[in-house]
Amino acid sequence: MTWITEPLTHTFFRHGLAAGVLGGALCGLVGVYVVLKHMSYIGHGLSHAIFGGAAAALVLGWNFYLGAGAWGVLSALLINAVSRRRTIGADAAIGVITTASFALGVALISSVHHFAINLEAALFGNILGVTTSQLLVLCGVLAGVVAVITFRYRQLLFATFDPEAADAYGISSRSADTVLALMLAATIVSTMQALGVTLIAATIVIPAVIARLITDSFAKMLVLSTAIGAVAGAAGMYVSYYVDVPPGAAIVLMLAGVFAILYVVTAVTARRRLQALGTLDAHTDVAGPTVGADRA
Amino acid sequence: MHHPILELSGVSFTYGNGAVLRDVDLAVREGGFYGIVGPSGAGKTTLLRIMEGSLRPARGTIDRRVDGRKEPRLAVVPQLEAVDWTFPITVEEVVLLGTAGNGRRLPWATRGMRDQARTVLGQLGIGDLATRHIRNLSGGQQQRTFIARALIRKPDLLLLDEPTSGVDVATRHDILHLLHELNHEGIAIVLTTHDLNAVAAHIPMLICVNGRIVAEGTPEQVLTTDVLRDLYGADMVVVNREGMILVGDAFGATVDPHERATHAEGTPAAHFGQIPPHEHGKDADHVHEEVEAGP
Repeated sequence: MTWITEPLTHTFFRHGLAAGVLGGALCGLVGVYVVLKHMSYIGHGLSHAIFGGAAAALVLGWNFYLGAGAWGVLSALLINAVSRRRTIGADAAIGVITTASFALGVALISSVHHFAINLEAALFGNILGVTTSQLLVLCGVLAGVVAVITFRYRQLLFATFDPEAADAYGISSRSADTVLALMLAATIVSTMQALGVTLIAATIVIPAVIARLITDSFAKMLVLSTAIGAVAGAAGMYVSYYVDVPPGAAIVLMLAGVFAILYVVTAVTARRRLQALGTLDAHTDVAGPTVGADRA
Repeated sequence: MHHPILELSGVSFTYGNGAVLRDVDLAVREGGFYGIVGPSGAGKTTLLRIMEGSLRPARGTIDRRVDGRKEPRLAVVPQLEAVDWTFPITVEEVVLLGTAGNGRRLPWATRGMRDQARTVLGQLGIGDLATRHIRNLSGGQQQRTFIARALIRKPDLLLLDEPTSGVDVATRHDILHLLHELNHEGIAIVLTTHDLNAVAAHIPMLICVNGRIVAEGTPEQVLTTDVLRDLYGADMVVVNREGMILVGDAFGATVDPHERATHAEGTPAAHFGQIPPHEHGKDADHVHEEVEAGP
């Protein structure tokens, strides 16, 4: 068991492990809504958009969370508003907003040479350099997101599943979308320094996708995705420690590996079930019921 | 005469490129049963979504407290094609969503809410499917699941978008029968449909829409060649036989070519292809025979 306890003797590893577990759990939890609302592209774009705010905060000497947070909230609301418009494609409009914001961040940081190191940290994350205050912010955001999801569970579920009908049932789909966008922005801002802009989207999307492959229940998917994110965060840290791979990359590669294995397993299982049904039909010479059989 | 529970006055709507609806005046009455008919792109679904409150009109007003009365409780049943069937949710969970607007903060449903959901599912004949994932249902069961979600809300007004689209003849018959039963229990119903013969002809009041209200009235009043020409911009043939109305296009385009060749030109059978069953149980072949026996 020393392979587990030995890295824990280092403060940087303990902080990194805590950031990996908390950040992984947070991303996994919020990721369920992102994936089920088919917002994966928005999650990816928003992380790039917030990079502009982070860069501006760095260059102007503002507090990181203030700059990136305000930028993130504004970007999230703007993306949310653009997504509701039908005059231009939402994906195109989001692409313009997020890449322009990302380019602004790169330009700002590149203009000040001694910030080049921060550019790399912001892009790829620096989980081993996570401070106690950053961990406290992560804890705070995770607690806030859990509270919102707990006390608005049914409303958020309705607005995620059937946003068109939500208003008629007394649930404002607009406010639900805003809450989800703000939770996503807070998740990205609080995990950006640990995981990096380029890897956050993967840690948001992959745990939820894995959980979806395992369960058909929304509540179980929330729990599973959170747990998968947390376990991947911890496992990624250990892999990084022993294999000498950047922690962010190790976390994402582990998640991707699990997804690939599960995808193949579920596909093979489904195929076997279908074949078994086919065999049954052939033996009994009866056209067995099929899913949605009477749908045209 | 029942009093109105929802009134639209001078309502216009646009998605950005020209008006989809223009100057719509409409009243939905307590316990009424309305079908919105019209060609594709006529604004049927838009009108329904304005009624439910998910779209705001560019101009005009919607009054949900007509004459200061209590606002009617709405419930919406979406088009089956619009539902994400891969979403991880069971039949019972869908039904319980109907109570999501009741202000309860805790995430889990109470025993009373679950009992209520099971009761509604039982009434609709799908009580044994409560724990099943929504993907693993037939089209009729899927439609009943969403009707159950609406009923658990105890609505005054039920809005349905193309409830018979994409289902087979028997299921369509069952759904129409169920809606008539709910209407007899006092629930006002508004649905959209593009099916004049199998659906619209069996609905007490029709609202003909094509960017505006073209006509409004009973099937006997509005399913006429003049109104349909105005509505669809094409000549159509209407046969009203012993209270049963059948509509076909003037060129007999809905008829199977092989079948059309077997009928004398100009007879009703030459205009009507697959004749749907009557709402009250006549099967398709029987109805077809009646038409063939016509003048």
